[in-house]
Amino acid sequence: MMESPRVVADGRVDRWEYVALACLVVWPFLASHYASGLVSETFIFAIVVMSLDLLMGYSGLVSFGHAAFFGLGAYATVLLGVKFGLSPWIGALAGIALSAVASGLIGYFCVRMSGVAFFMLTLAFSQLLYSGAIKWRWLTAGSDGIGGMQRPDVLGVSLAHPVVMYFFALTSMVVCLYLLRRIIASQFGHALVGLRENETRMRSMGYRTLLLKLVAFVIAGTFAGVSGALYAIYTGFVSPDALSWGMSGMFLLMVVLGGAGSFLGPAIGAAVFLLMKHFVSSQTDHWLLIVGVIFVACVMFFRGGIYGLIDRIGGRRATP
Amino acid sequence: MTINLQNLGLTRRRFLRGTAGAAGALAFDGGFARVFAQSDSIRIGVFNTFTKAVALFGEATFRGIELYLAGTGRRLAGRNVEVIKEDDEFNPQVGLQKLRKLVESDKVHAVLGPLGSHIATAMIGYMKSSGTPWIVTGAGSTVLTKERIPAMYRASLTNWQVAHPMGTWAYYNAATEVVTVSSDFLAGHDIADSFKETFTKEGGKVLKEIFTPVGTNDFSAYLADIRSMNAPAVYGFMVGSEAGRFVRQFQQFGLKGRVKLLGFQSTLDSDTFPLQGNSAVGGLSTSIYCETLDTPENNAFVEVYEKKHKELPGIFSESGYTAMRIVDDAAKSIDGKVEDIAAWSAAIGKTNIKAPRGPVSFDPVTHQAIQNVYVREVIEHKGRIVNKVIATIPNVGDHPGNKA
Amino acid sequence: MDLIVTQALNGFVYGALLFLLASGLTLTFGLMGVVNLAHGSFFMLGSFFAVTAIKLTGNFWLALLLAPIPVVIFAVLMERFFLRPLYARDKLDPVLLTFGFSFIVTDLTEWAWGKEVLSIEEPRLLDDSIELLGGLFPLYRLALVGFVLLIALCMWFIIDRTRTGAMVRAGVDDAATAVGIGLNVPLLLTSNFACGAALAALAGVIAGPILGVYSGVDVEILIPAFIVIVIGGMGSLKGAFVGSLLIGEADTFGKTYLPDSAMFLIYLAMIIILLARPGGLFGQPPSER
Repeated sequence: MMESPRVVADGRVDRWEYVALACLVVWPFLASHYASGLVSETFIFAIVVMSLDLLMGYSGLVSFGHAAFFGLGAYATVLLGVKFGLSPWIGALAGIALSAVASGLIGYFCVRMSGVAFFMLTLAFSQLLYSGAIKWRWLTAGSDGIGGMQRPDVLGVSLAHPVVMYFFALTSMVVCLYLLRRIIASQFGHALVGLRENETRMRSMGYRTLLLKLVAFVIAGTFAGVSGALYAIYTGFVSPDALSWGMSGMFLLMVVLGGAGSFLGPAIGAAVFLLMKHFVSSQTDHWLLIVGVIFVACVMFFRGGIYGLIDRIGGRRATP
Repeated sequence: MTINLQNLGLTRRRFLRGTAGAAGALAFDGGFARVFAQSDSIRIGVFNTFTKAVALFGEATFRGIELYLAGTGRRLAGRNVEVIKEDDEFNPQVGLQKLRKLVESDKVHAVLGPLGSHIATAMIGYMKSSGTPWIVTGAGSTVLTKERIPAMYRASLTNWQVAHPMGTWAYYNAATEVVTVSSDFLAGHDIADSFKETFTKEGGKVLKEIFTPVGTNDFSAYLADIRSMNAPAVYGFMVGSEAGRFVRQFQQFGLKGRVKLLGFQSTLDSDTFPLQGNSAVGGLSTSIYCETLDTPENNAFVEVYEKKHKELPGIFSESGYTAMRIVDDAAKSIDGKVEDIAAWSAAIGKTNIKAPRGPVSFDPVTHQAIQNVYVREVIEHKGRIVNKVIATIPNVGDHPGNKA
Repeated sequence: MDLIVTQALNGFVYGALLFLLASGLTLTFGLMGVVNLAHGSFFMLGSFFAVTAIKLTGNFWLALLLAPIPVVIFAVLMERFFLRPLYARDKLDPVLLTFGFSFIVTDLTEWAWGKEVLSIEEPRLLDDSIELLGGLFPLYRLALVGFVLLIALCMWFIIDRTRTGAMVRAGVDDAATAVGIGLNVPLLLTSNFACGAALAALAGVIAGPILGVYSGVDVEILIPAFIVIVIGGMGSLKGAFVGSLLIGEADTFGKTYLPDSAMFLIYLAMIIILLARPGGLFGQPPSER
């Protein structure tokens, strides 16, 4: 299902991507605050979805529990901010650290499995966290969620202003994309891809495949934590939804929709999904049907997702 | 050299992104819609739950709103009205997104709703900073009115308002030992606490506090538990079809007749009777409204409602109806200039009407509706299951702690 | 004592519903290596079709018979044209496909029947409660348990004592060899999938009076079914039976005695089993497929 990943060998950026970036920079000055807010949300989700791509597209590990780390990042940020009055930045750092540690712990157990077993185990772990979030009202206020966190300032400017938030989210996404690309372009990244292609061969060549997988899992989990913390800062609210398997499923959906193994593909998948949800849902109730059909089509025919499709239209071969 | 898209920097991808974005922006702003809609209309955002178990109550609220508007020719204070309905799915995260759309994209003049107390709580920060007039039509979280939000008025109950009189009344008229069963979200805890406060103050004992996960449809395990405790009474708070199932299963598992069923207003209401049938008969509840109130205002309301919907209205239909009336009256008093939020707000605060539920006015400090609380019993009357008022507690206000 | 027996009965009811779902789910996994994320959708569709059938015929029993039919047709079409092309691929592609289908079904269901909770009334024959241990217990629920036990017995008989059953067992054990000895595996796969869908739909119908009929029930019933097959053992019918019993009781007793930690503990158990004994209690480890 996953196409051979579009590994950009030396981390170089395509010319068109600069053009796209320029458009995104200009956008908030043309669009309404509401629209900018929605696109900001897209950037934030793009980060977690790209991190899942590291697992799915590049390492061949399909996780159904990625929301665990997203949710941990979000919860830590809001809890520390609302219950202890700490700055959201401290909360975010704590959240990211928490996701890193959690992904290490959970990953330790999960990477020993593969395929369906891995899938189920990741689901079980995230459901474990979810059940805690729902039931331990003394900590998390259960399904009510916790809110009321104000957006902090960054470099002296308040993130409460939609345009400021937009640029902050955009910058975060670009930075994460850059980091992820560098990781994949490194020796470690190449080993990961090799592992995806043929794990047995890699092992016989002396690679410590379990360790490789674990590191990938932790990196992905950490970025997911970053995304969760940003989401908490953006909405000022967190609920068990952020840890749910529905959320994990949504991430999966976005990766497949956009095209695994390309980082940008899933980011586009996130954009398409979220914008469809907001845009289409005001015209018709059936946006989920449309998304479902596109998704099924992607699984069956367009294994490169939307990104792969565009690639083909653009004249570039899908397989390098 | 042939012109290759690659050389052009693969414009397709970014073109697609850009176009989608631009189209999206216009749509988000409702640009197209705005062009055709009358800029003269008053836009009311109806923010409620229209899916799953609680949809029952959301739709009822909406019916009440529509009924009122039908009576005014869909006009408020001489201006046309545009109603924009958004579903929060009983989920605060989803709700916040839809709320943003209502306020920032649809630019509504007022938000009516929500139903869930936890949703209302999640809205506080946002509504405070946006300043949009907010008429609460269902959510009863007691501490909501402790927040000082100038443009917010709660035209419905506070959980404390309705639950605490039952605590006192139950001790002297029902039982001295009770098991509370509540839906496990903010309102459930709020209501259980309010009941417990007054019940135990009189000397009553709460044997156990059961909290059922939101969305529970099979209460068998909990009912078996209650029966094993030989509790003389149960005080139940459920919403929507949950309430329907709970009372029905209450009878199926043999608790009816042995255990007194006491409820919050939403547990035993006109809208839940179709699901409950005569398993509800004998149930007692406290409420701010009763469909069989014999007052001119209520009789008129019930007549119009029954003619349109062929059944009796419940608390939520009345809630939507009266909320619109309050909004309308206030708008009329300022010549329809609802864009002047401060004036409109002040006008709403001066409300003093006889609604179908009885007299309604607002607490000047907390903006909570002051109204009657009725003790009701479910009876079978002329082949119909209805609530009947057996006691009235007049002019119940907000929790004293909120005025501080 | 009375409480424990009553709760045990309640647990049987829930366990019975879970068994109907888990049995199809586990056999599908055993034969095809596919975790059908749309299995809950079959359950949901069954209950909705039953609502329509009752509206048209006014008869619960007819609905019980008729409602699974469109669901089975749907399942067969889904397997034949969408799932089958993917077997040869990456083992998770079929799973992702079923995931996509679950969204499509949810949307179509809401389109056709709306978003509110609908109900199915118990059939008049069973709409009564009987005296049991000093209290009342709904007759319908007892009948439900009996009905599922009957089905379980039939299933056991078919799987254990008939040629068809032997074919299924062969397919579960080793699909490649099964083909080698001439079994028509594609037909086996499709019929197995169809049966699973039929059972799920049936479960949806009989669960209607207890759980209600609404979109979203598919997700709510699927996760417990997953837990059952993991604990019971993926691919094992016996495991599905035992697992359903365990989870049904754990859920019911958990509500009474451990309301705050029951869910957590159940997931913990699922994790421990996946790690320590991936084959569950009675099944084979999934990695060996």
